[in-house]
Amino acid sequence: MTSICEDIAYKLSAYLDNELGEAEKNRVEAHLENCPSCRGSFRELKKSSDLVSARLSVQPSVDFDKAWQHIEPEIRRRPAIRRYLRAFIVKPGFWIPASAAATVGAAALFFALCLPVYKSQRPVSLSHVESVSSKSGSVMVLHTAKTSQPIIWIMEKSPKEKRP
Amino acid sequence: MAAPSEPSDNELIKSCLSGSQAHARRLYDRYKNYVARVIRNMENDPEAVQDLLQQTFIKAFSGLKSFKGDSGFKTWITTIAVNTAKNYRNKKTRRGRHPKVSIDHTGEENGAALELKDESANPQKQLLTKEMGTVIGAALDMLSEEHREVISLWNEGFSYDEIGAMTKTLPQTVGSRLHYARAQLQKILTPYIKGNKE
Ligand SMILES: [Zn+2]
Repeated sequence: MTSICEDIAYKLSAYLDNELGEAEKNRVEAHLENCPSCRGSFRELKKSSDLVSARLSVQPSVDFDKAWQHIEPEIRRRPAIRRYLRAFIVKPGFWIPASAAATVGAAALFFALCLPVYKSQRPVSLSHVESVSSKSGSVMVLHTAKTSQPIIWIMEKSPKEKRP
Repeated sequence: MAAPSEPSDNELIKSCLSGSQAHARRLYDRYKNYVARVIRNMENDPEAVQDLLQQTFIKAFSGLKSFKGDSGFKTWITTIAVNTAKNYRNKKTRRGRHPKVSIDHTGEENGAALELKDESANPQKQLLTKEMGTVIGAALDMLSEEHREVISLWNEGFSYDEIGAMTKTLPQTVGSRLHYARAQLQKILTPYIKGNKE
């Protein structure tokens, strides 16, 4: 194998994909015409490439209707919050770091205390409440129609409860 | 591609944005097979494929507002699918649950032969024997994530430029990755090709 052959070998893949510029393409073709060894390499490359492509083109068996049953409710409303909660809570073995829990707890307390005052100034109309439960605790989300600002409660289960 | 009477992707997207679930379903039907294939070509586990397909479409529909339309919906959803599959694989590797490659089980379809579907970008009317399909599946599993990604997108007919744009790499890098991915696959497959065919 000459150094030209080495250079050509490196270009065969792009040549196969028709991704070479005109000049390079001509150079590869001219070499292939005169070099049986590179011609052989190209044939092998094409053969294995075709087989790989055949394998990659097989359609996987997926239950698309079942998948849609999961997709459809998620995209119907407030997808971002639900996805966030799911990622945060439903993972097995997940636990909320104490400091984060304390912060959220304080925030929840703040809302609880301030809500009546807030309410007296600007009435809050509740749109809906959602909740998600997991082994490590549960989360409740209150959506207010007025501000569209979700209020989130995170309730951790005690370590005893967590044991399965 | 859509028949003349079919609404275009952009028309469907517009009505999805105004809340049409029926048109969301039509967009899903249009791309589900394609997205499933791209994901499966990144990740073999059939259960994971179903789950990643769901995640991809949920992300795509939820982020439809941020879809600019300049690159086309197919390119856009491909990027989401590839990233979703990559994240999953990264997490799996970090948890140390990367599956050991086995020649007799690649989590694949059953049946004596895997018949090709015409809708792929590189349709070859040939029959892949089950054994060969399994060997190739295992060989693909041994590729690095980057190599698997380019091979998967190349198979869907994207150019080096397009793959580069989707994977945030230069077209030359795409070419070089494809070259090495093919070389590696060829090394594994050559004994089988020589032994089985001709
Ligand atoms: Zn040569």
